[in-house]
Amino acid sequence: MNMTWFFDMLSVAMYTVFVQNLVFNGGYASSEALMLAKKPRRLWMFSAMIAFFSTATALICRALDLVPRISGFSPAIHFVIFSAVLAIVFVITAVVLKFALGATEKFLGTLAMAAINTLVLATPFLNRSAAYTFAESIASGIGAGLAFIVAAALIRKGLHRISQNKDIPKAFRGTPAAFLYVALLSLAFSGFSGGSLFS
Amino acid sequence: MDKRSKLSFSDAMFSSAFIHNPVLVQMVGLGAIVAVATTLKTALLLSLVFFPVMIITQAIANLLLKKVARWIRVVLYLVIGTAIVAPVMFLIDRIDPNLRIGAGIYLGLTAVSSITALHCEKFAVKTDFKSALFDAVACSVGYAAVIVVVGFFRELLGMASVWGKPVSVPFTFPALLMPFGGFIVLAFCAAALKALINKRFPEYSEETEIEIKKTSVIVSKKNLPEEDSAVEEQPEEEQTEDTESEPEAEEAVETQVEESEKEETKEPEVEEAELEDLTPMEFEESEETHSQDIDEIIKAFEKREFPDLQNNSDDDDFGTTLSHLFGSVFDDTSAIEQEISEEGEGEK
Repeated sequence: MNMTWFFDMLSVAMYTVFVQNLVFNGGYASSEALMLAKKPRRLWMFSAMIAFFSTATALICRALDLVPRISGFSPAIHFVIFSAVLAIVFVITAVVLKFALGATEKFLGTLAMAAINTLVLATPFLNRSAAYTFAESIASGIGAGLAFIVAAALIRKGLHRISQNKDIPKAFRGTPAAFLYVALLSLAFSGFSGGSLFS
Repeated sequence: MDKRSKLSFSDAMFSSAFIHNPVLVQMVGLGAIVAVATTLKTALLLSLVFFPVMIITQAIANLLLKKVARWIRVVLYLVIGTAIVAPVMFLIDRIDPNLRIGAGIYLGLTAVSSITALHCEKFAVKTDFKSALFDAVACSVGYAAVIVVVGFFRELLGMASVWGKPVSVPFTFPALLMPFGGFIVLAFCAAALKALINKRFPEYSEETEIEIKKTSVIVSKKNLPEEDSAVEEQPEEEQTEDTESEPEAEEAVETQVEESEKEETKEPEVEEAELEDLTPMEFEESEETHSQDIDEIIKAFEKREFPDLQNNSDDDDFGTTLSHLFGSVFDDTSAIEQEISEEGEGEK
């Protein structure tokens, strides 16, 4: 049995999580990761939502890109199409959850924040520029969710320690220290992609 | 900041652009700043595009979306943002394609900026039109100021140039052009702002602090340490017996336990000592010890009541911050699971 597709997916997912980590190396949804890191109870659920929406949106956008006429459109038109796909995917999901499972307004509000963010909307663009296949697009979408979990968990751990550190100068307590910590994490992840600090 | 109060323009500028700067204090809208604000030109472009997105979205939210459900509002922000950004992208492509390439996909992603969603939910849908407009302008100014400063310093120190023209600097540090450099510059900008607030407006110092909750772990009641179970079983003996007679119900009760407190419950003195060190806000949260949580959740479950879930009014503070939005997932999924299980039992 040919397992190439599986290993292709695995490598794309690993690449998305560690090398390309969209939160640290791209800044996508970094605000959401920082927010969630401060209040981490919802991390898994929120990340699963992100993974779902990024995968679904990326797949549909990939399918649309197979249409020659659409693939030839300008970036502005592509942006409109991808945004429309994301909006439609979200609305369908929300309607299903609301009417089939009785999801509350609060839950749907959270779902909206997980769906409508830079990480989810960026995934189809990144897949397009990397010319990913369908299987790779799925892996990329799941990888986006995993990257978010990794980022939020790492930020969370650091913020907790920073909050207990009394030696930080007063001006650097809080957000400045948080930014510095995220900067170091970003530097660490950029090491996976082989970036050079000094040229 | 009182979300429902009316603001003058100077109040809005002071609060939304300075004290509660969206980037340096609220930590939203970071993506474009850390990733592509590496030149002054790109930074200026992104800030100019952000202005109409923020102002128009907030104005529409205030005028038309107050009575619309939150989840529909958020998707409408995307639609409005796209309607504004797409023509701008088209126009820039005609004028100078290199400029759009420099901003990358972040130009389009301005349409889904977390600043827009946060301020629309926090402010625009809860106040009058004038205040919402002032807040939108002030917030845009706050964002523009930060992105332009970051873009300027990264171009200067990373490429030894300003507006694309070479300048003489004693050293360059190209790593500043990486997202890592963006976060570093942001950290120093945030520290400068904080130092200024601490010095000139010390009464606002606390508002620039970040609030960190202890790690929470969601566990099944039956998986709690024995000591914890004993603590909660004593006061609610009868109720606990009822719960035990329904093993499936027991499994469905999910309780939130603060990881660090598992150890602390064995040594109450340690917990007290730790609480004394916490800031007032953190202390307030920590007062909700897990044993209290467990009692409340068990009672609520047995009465088939979930107080948090019933508080769905748009007027509550829940929708005012992203963090509050994030705060609902567990409760709401529990409700869904509960409803599903009740339906399943009904069918049986």
